[in-house]
Amino acid sequence: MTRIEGHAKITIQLDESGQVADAHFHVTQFRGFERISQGRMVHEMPSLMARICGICPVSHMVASAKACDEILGVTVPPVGVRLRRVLNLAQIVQSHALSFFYLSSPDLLLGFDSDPALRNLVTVARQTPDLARDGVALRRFGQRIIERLGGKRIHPAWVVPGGVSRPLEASERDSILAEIPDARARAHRTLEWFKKNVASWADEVAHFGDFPSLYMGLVHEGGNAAYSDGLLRVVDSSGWVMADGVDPRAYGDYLGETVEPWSYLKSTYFKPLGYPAGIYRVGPLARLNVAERLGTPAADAELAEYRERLGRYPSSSFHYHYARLIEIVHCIDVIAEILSRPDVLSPHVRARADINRHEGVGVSEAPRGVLIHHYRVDDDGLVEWANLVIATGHNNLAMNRSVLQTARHYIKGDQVKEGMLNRVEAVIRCYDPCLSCSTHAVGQMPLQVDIRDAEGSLLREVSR
Amino acid sequence: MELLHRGVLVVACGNTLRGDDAVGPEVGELLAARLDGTGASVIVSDQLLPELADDASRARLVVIVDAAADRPVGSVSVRALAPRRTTDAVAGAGPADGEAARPPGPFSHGMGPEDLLALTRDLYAATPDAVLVSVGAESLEPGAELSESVRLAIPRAVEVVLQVILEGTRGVWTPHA
Repeated sequence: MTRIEGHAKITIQLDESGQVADAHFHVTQFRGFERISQGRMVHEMPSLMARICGICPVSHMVASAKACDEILGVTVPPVGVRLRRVLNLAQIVQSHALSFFYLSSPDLLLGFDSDPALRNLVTVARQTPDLARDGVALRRFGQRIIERLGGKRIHPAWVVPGGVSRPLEASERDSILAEIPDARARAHRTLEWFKKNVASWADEVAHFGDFPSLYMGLVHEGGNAAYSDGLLRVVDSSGWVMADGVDPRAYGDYLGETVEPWSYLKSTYFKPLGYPAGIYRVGPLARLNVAERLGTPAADAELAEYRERLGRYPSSSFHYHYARLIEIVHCIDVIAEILSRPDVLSPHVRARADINRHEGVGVSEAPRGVLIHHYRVDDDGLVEWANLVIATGHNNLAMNRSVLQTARHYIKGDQVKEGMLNRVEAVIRCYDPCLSCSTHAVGQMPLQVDIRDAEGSLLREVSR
Repeated sequence: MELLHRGVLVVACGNTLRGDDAVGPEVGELLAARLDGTGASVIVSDQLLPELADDASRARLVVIVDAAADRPVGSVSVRALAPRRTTDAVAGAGPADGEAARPPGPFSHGMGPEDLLALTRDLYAATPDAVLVSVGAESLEPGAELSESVRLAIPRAVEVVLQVILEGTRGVWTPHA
């Protein structure tokens, strides 16, 4: 089994004057889920694909199940759609909490140049226990919803082709609703803390992946952000709509995929602009740029303030953190809305059918961005071919651009200080906490940095 | 059994796709069945995570079950746990007598039982009794099967945990062979 996990490698190329000319971020782990799934029964796919990731298995289950829905040719009952949405949103809450509190808050609170041995959640807990407690509680809130609905916190089995495997029980609904006020309070408190402190990270804001790019996300008709359904929209850095109302089944008309020899991670690009000019970003920053609004009052008020502070289309990847916190607020409120509906306990949560089509595409918004599962099956439902386009792949070009920008700002000649290494970690962490988790430990991310001169000769290798 | 095990938390952790690392979850599943209705809670988890500190803060006794690469294969051993002492200069904090302070351990995939207990202490001002029950592992390489020795050790590990829970005294544990 594979997922994005393991060691990261960065190469930094110096020019003849010793300045950074180029930099690459290499993912050195082979994933291979597209091959593993060949020959499997299509009904197994949601559970199998959930094993891609231990942080966002629900996203894979939802996207996979949607691809299976198409192959079965079914329409999922409305309550089944909403319950899948609750599960997906709960996962976004817990994943965003992990990203912000566990992985990024040590940098933000203790400083990017602080002692790496102490730059972790344990120290954060000692110095700012209130913030750490809020993070733990928000993560538990999301995980408990997943556990209640899906039976377990990681790799739940509830989402199936055609809907979900069983209806929601009243006791489950009531216990989740009882936890909403506390979760809301913690989310808002964290957002207020962040807004008060964001000015202290001005240098990082300016140099953590601040460049023009396209942005892609799912939106509902009318422009509200979508997380489980909706159509694809792509905008440029000034908000010009490059593509809109794109049925996810047509993703291949707009998104190209390519492989570079220095990384196992596929790079995707916006086809009309070609490679690599068609660089785009997905995930929280992109979603807030692409959507007109989120659709819940408190989150939209925060979004309005966010746009007033940062502009309508903020471009610094550092602002993924701010966007993430707003999304936590939004997700909690949508969960509350759905579970307060009188029909949420309906027993009609699944449609059943046999194989009616040989191809299906499912798209959802994972915490880190747009996630696409595309399958082809034979008459018996055996998977013949699968293509997965994962958020991290969408962001690969942008991550590389960000690493280059960070390196150019913080590396002078062949001098590499630990704080620079940490900022390289932190740039990556803005995009995708799975990478940070996969490289094991905050402050001890197994990271190797090669610095080469203009002829490609290795000047210095730094690893830890 | 009566609900006299209320306040007991068992955390059985391990990766079920890493050979003998699955022994924790295997033992945990059996314990969940044996402890059903007793008031004890059993959590089976891939690894120790910070949110478990919240669960631990509500317990009077935490028993962590895990595979150990540094113990004889198939052995079941018990040791008392204490929260990690940290080196950061917070007023009033510092190492206790007789124990050298250490930096907090690596986080995320590397979080150890002492780190979890440190979080429990620092976030929730709770210091439950805590015990680690380890099963000596032969292999932690990728794979879905337990080695024979570890598989045979599971019933003994279950009984050891149940004995630990019954004894329930602070810091006095007899290592089991």
